[in-house]
Amino acid sequence: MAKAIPKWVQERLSKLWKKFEGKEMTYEQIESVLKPDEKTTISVFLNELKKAEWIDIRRGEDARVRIYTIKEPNKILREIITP
Amino acid sequence: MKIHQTKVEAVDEKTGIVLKRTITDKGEFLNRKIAVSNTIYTCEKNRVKLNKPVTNTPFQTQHLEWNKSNEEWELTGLKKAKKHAEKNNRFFIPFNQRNQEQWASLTWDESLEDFRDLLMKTNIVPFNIPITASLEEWESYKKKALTYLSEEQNLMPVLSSKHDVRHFPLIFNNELKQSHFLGISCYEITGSIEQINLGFMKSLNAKLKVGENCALVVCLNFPRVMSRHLQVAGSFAFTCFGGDVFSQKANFSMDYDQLEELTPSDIYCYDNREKKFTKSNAQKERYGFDVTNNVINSIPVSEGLDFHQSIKYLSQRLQQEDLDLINNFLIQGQPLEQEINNYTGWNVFLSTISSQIPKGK
Repeated sequence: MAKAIPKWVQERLSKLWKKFEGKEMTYEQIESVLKPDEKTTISVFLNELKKAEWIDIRRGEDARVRIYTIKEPNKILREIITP
Repeated sequence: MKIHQTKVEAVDEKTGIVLKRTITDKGEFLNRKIAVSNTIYTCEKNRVKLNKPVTNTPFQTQHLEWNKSNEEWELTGLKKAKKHAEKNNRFFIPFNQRNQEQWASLTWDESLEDFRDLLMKTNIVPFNIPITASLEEWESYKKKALTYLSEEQNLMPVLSSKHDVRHFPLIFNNELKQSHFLGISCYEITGSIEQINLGFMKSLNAKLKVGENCALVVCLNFPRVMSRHLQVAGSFAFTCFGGDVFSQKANFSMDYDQLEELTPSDIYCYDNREKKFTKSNAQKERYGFDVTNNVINSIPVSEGLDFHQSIKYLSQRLQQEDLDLINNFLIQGQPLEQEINNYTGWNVFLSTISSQIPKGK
C-alpha cells in the first residue's frame, strides 16, 4: 500500500516523471535529471520512494545494475486516498 | 540580563527535540537561538556605525583565540563586546576556543586559570572540564569555582563532545538538571566517541519532562557549514542532538590574500528552500537563478557590509527563521519528523547521520 512522500521527494519525482513517465530508468539517468543533487541525496530520495512504495526496483541483466520504474501517480493517489 | 529559569514546554516523542522557555529579568524567549558570534559581531559593529538595526537574539558569544607566541588567550576587545551585548539585552558568553589537541591536553590547573581570567570579565563564566574528568572530580572543582562567583554570575560548565564516554552522560545529566547554561564544544560529527556522546546528549535531553527545570545546552565551536554532512547548517545538526543555543567556530587562521580572491560564487549561502548551504552554480542549476547574488543585492552597501558579510549575515537570519519554524511545529503539536522530512537538507541529514544515533527516548 503506497504512503505519502515528503515534499522535496515529490518535487524531484515530478521532474523524473516528466522525463521518463512509466519507463524504466537506470541510476545514471536519474542522476542526470536530478543534478545538482549529490549521490547521498539521490540514495535517500530513492529510499523514500521505495519505503512509500512509489517505485518498482528490479535487477538488470548485469546483476549489479538496478532498474527503476515510477508507478503510475494516479494509481498511487487512489491507493493513498482509499486504503 | 539575569536568568531566572528554563522550563520544558514540549518534547517531541519521535525526534526527541525539546521546546524550552527561558525566563529572565528582561522577558522570556524560546530555545534554539543562534548567538551573535565573532563574525556577526563584526558585521554589527559596522551596522551600528550607520545606525542600522542589529540581530534580534538573546545571546552573544566571543570565541577567544589562543595566542601561540604569548602563550595566552587573546582577551583584547572583550570589554567592548560585552558592552555591545548588554546594550542589546543579550547574555554574553566568552569561550576559549580549543582545538582537539588543546582539549586532549587540558589540565585542571589550566581550566581553573582560564576560569579565573574570565571571572571579572563576564556574568556567565565558562569552566572547561578536562576530557578525562569524572563526575566526582568535576563536583569538587565546581564547588570551589562556585565560591568565586558573585550573585549576579552563573557558572557555565563546558564539556567536549569527545569527553571520556564513561563520564560524559553522568556529568551532562547532572548539569542539565542543575545549571542554567551547559556548554558543549562540538566538532564535525565524524568520530565514534563524538557520536556516542551526542547520542547520550540527545536521549538525556529527550527524557526531560514537561514543566521540569533544566539547562540551556550551548553548542559551541561547530562548523557553520557541515561539509561532511551535505552542507546542512551546524545549527540544525546540533538541534537534532539537543542543542538550544548555537555559536559556530570562529576562523582565526584566515588567509586574507586568499579571501581577497574569493567571489560571491565561492561562498556558501544558506538556501532556506533546501534547508542547507549551497553555492551559486548549484542554485542556478536548480532554480535557474542565483540565490547568493540576490542575497547580496538585498543588503545595500549603505548598510555597512561587504559581500562576504552580507552572505553570512543573511544566512544567519534565514537559519534562525528555520529554527523558529521547528519551534512553531512544536507549539502547534504537528508531527515534527514528518514536517522536517519535507525538506531535502533536513531529511537527508536525519536519514544518514542521525540514524546511527539512538532515536528520541
